[in-house]
Amino acid sequence: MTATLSGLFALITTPSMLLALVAGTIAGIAAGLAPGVSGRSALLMALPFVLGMQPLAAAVLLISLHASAQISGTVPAALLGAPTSASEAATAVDGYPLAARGQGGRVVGAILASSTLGGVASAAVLLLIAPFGGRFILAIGTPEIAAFAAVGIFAIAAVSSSGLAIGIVVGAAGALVSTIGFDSMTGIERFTFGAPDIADGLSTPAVVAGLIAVPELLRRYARGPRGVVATASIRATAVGLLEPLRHSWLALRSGVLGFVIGFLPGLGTNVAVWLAYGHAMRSTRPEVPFGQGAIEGIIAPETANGAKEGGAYLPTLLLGVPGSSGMAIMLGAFAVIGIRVGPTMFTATPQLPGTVGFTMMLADILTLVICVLAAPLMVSLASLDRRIVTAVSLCAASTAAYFALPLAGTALQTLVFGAIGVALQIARIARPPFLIGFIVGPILESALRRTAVIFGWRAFERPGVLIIVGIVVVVIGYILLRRRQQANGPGPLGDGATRPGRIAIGPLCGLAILFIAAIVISRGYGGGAGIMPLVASVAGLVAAGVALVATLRAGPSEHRHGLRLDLRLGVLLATALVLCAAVGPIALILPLVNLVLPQPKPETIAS
Amino acid sequence: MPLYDRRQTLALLAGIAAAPALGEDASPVVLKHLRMISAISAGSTADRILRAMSSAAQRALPAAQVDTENGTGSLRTLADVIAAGPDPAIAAMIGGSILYDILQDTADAATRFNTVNFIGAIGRDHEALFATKQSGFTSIDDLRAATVPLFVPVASVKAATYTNAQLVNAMTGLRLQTVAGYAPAERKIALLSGETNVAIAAIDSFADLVEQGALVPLMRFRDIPYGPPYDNLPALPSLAKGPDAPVLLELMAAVMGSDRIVVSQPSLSTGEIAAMRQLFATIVADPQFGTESGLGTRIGASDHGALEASVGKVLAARDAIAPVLARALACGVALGTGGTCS
Repeated sequence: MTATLSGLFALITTPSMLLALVAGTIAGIAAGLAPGVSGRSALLMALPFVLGMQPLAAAVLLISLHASAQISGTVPAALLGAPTSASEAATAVDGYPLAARGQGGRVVGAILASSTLGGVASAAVLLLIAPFGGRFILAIGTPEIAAFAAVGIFAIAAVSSSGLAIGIVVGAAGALVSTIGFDSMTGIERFTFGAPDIADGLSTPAVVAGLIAVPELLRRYARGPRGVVATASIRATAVGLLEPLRHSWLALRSGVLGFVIGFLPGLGTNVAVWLAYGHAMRSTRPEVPFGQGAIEGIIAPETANGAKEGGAYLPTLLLGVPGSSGMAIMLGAFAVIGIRVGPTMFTATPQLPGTVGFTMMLADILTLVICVLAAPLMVSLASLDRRIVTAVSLCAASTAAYFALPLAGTALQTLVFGAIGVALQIARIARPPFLIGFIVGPILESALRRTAVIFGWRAFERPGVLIIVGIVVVVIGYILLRRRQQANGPGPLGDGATRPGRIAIGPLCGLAILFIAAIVISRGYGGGAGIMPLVASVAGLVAAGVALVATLRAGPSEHRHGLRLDLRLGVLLATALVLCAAVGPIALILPLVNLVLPQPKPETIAS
Repeated sequence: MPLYDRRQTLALLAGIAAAPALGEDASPVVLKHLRMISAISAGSTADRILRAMSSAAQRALPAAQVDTENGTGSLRTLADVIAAGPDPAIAAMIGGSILYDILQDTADAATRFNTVNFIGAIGRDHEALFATKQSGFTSIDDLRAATVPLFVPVASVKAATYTNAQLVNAMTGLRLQTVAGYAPAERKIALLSGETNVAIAAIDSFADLVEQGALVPLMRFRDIPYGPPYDNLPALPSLAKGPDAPVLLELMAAVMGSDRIVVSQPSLSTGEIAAMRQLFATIVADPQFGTESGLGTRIGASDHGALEASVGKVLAARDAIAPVLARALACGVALGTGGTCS
């Protein structure tokens, strides 16, 4: 405890460390607000600048940079409806509809407060359990990871607002698509058909940009050129700041989930936020309008997002094992600047856990203060002319995807998944199950296959597995019970709409054909490489059959979709993608094209 | 005490090597725009080394624009490098396991690999076999007598560690069973928690675990000085048996010695290639590079001449080596999974 407090004392009394804290936080906020720049890439960019600094001051700068980038990163995604990563997408699902209804200030406040709350609480837990946390981490092995991933797959059921069967179809499609590329356990290339650009799998940012950002932006554009999103005062933001406190029980549960997933290697931010989102959906009142602007849909993923930071530092500091890809870079940075982590840390730099924990706390709070003051400016982004926003956001999303995987094929992936996303949106089929299948599928497959080799059936003798499986059984029972209760209600929908009618038949038939083709092809994959695609396809095909019958019985769709495409937008989108394929950075210039066009004055509503 | 240490000697040799090329043109080529690509994912050791190289390159060429980016796997990055135009000059770092890939691939892959310009390599000479402390294994004989499976966590079947494990099996009769799918972080947890009990890695990768006493080194892969406590361990060449052993040992030495290969595109001019090679020599001679890369003084750099000789030897003998490698891999896998191999 003395060492921990000495970390705090050093932090607040050493000018270089205080300066590093402020500089890192401001740089992190800027990086987070820039589309496509994650905490991880911000670390990579900052690394050259900290070399030569005093080691602990350099560590403070990097920690505060990473923490603040995590908090601010979701704000533009939620306001513009243009997420550039899978984790941002979870918050954007409900954040964007709320912002579009003129509650941008509330959205920003809720994001900042939830993420900060999660971050500060997880830092406190980190400080408390640092002396003995290592032993706990080592009790969790691959079987437990597999069990956690299975829990993640069951989150599909929670976010299947279009109906459980349709949710399974879409989730299975996501899991199937995630198997595209090189199988690390056999070396077999699955479903690549010789295309080198997908040999290492699909690009997650491209899939997210296509599936979530493109349809949302097109829908936004279809509503006309005028921005109708409200401006926000600090008072409006303050309302949002209180939201996590109003939903403190949900925030606590999501925070615990985020912290636990944070210290499990191989799961990562995406799993944390989507599990939290799914948990919020299945554990809140049926009338909460998830997908249409439920504040709970912001609080849960953002608290988990903040809390997983503290969790991820646990194995990084105590064992020298990174808990996430961001922590892998942080660990490398620590090595470069001369800071030792792992068990020897307690003798070499005993104040480090204190420095990390308190830096996280202070950086989170500082980020909150700065962002709250800047909230009116941030929210005004969303009230810009829709044509400008659409152009900028499309370019940002596709460029972020391109930077993550700089291949011409990345633009094509964005285009293909954009088309799929639009089709699903028109058919009123929720898209989150696809993302969950896509993110969790590979983790589940890898962990299950490793468990089978090393443990076999003995995996079920492990207490951790039994506990997690028990929780899954309880949760399934709970979901089934709730679904029965909700059977007569309208039900929340991931796409902010009522249940799909016959309009869903086309996409369902298309997916069924995809599953049949995958079954035929995957039978040729040996060494276990065919199991996951086969299981996903069979489950998807069965669910597609059930969903088709239910859809035919349901009658015509209740509403026509409001999506309207015009030639100019089509040309704009195609140009953005082609340019990204050719020269990614140049795509950033595209928004200028729209700026020279005559623009109507945006309409704003003061909140 | 030698006049020059290894890095200084390399810098001198590179300077001499570059001299004829520079002599062709009165004004030596000055690199203005350099793109450094790591074919290995961000956060990995190789990625950290490449980023340290970028920093050193920027220090050496303060007026130049040095971009750093992550590539997408060795074979894909190689294809991109081959297809790239002359501007910017590319220095792409690809894993030495690409040699194993090429030997198992078509002859065309070897031909394509030969078209790039070799700049240099940061070797991983000090590979070793470890056992976890809780497994109780303290020697190779303990491993031979083991009644429990010897699980070795590896990233994928394309990783050099995977192939090396099979080759160790084939040459020593051990029964190491590789389990693919472990990310670097998961690999350490798997070892610390006892989920897996044996590991193959460069000694730098697991220095912390050895220092903590969590891992016990059992065998060196090469018969070269590793430093304490490794020098007292048996070396793989002294344990290897069978008619294929000499070929396999030489192949492993080539892969380990040229683990992080830096290549440039074929479209560069002679002057640009010479400038790139000189830059590489400057980078590896920069003491700050050793610190930033985490390699310290154990950089293990090879200049382009040594690299070309090493890689060229393997590729030239491809037709002879490929069947030996295939045989050894099949044998290693069979032993690891409880089968037999004559």
